[in-house]
Amino acid sequence: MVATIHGSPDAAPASLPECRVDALSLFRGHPSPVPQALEAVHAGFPSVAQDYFSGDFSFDQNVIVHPDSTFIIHVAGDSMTGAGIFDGDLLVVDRSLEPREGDIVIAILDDELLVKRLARRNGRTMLRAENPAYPDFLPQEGEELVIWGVVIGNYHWQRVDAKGESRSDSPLPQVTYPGHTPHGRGRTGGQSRKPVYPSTGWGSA
Amino acid sequence: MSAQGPDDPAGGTALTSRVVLADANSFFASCEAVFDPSLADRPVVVLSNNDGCVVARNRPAKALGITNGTPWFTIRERAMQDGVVARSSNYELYASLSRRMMAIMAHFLPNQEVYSIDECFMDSIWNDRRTVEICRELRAAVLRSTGIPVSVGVAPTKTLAKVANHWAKDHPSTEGITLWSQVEAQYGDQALASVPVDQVWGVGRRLTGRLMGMGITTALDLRDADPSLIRHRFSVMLQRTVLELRGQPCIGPEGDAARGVRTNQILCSRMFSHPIEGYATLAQALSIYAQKACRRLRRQHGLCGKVQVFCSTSPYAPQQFCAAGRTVVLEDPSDDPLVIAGAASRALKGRVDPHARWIRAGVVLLDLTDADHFHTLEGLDAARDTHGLGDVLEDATRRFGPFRVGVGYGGIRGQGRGDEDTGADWAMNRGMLSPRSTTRWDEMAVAQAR
Repeated sequence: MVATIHGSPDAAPASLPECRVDALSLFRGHPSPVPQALEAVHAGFPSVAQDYFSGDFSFDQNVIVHPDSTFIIHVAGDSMTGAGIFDGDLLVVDRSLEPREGDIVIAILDDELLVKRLARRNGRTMLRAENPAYPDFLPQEGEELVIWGVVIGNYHWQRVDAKGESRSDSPLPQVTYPGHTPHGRGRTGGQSRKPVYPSTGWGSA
Repeated sequence: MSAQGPDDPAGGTALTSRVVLADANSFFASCEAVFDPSLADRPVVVLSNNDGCVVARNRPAKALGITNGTPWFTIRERAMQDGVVARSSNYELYASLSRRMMAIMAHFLPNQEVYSIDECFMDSIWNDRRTVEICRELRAAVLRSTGIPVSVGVAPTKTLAKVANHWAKDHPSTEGITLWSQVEAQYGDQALASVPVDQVWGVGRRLTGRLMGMGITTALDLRDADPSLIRHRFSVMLQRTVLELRGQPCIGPEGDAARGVRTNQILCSRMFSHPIEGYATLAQALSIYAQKACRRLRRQHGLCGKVQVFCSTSPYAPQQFCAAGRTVVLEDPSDDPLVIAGAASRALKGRVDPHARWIRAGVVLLDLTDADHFHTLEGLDAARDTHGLGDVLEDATRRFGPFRVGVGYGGIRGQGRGDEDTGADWAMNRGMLSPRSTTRWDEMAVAQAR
């Protein structure tokens, strides 16, 4: 069950200033694309799809199960690269979940938020880094690990862009996209084939 | 509506419903600590607009003897030595965490009535034992999921639930949950006798003096006062308070207008960071405040009939003190930001001293009606925002943050992280603002991977 975090602002009580967390608003501020009409009113034969279409799925509604307790947090550092979490990634953190062994968590250590993996060693719970260059953290006897929240996923930006070395913007040779037919050559060959299927006379030839 | 709890030991003689009041502990200060664990055990105070006065403090700051309303500059040095952390009011963060907290609580009990940014009333149809169990789960869920500690008072009426909630906050042994029937069973009338009358919900400072004059100094005295006398001398509102203290529910959902719940006016007013001069600058400020007010008006689907503006110079320079104000009646009720901002910025044209040094200005929207139920004679329609500008502004604000776009000067954005971010040099000072970790993409909290 997902609460509508992108619902109409009028649904919020008037006394609450409008606010919402657009978790992973990577779609330029429109996480839930608005359903659009598929056809104009006078389009003749109605679109058979219109009763089936109620908008594209929303990424964050599917990723975030508990919107009220989920927070997006930025990663600084590379101690978790072994778990696929890199410097600058975004973490989706659900604070309502009970931390379990093997979870990647946000822990509070020395007044800071730290991302580590929760693991067990010799019957004691510890915080493990996922990069051999970084130390694990084993709490002292009687010391407690304070877990701020459980990481349910991370978003890693893959597109090479301005931040890297300068690359040429010219199109790569030998690269095309599905359906594209350079120089007018059809993929299926040049000459038209003789029809082998009988025609019903219905529809266009 | 209410039903007997199935495991109610009373055996179903009367339909009882319990009022549950959940209220965050030092809400603003608690919010500050959500993304900043270093604040957990330190004294924290939150300051009002322009970093003026202390408006909230956590338990360690209370223990130092800092009181709400204290001007920050008078205690700053001393407080710094005591390790007090001061923060500017981070309204966006507080509103975000408030919405989350309310949404979580609504999962546990029905009929949630959000009474303020940090408190809500709910109903429980369960018996005392089960109600306390649910409240314990609710408290734990809010604390774990948002980091905000709440206290809960359970009582037969709203007024008593307020008293019980205070009791829970004042007595750590309650672990944040107070059942009023238990307190009464244990302490009898002593419980209400320990509550000063001015702390009773709905008793303001003005009433306190008059009540004291009648010898009513505690909640117990008020409970035992003659209701018809109270009605005669004060109001039907205070009579209801008396009855509520006796355990008769009289205050329904939505509260009462006099308790400040329903607004039939919208006020937006601010102090400037420093005095401003000249009509043009004043008109800019009024236009921006009018647009803020208009956003609130549109959010409650309202139309306004009158726009009132006011401004004043510093009251600390009484020789030069001057103030001005004017109410403009709109031709038709409207929710159009162009109409409202236009009326506000033109209202004082030629009516104010061009050399006065204004320190404060504000806009009030009056004569509010519900846009959805507004009907007039045919041909006499409301001046609705037909060009869709208000919706566009609302959309843009949601996407890019406040004050990126607006009418007139409203869209100019400054460099700082100040509240208004209008780029106007008179905008509010918030030098100690924490990151708006849940509402601004570029101020997101950071987790260290090291």
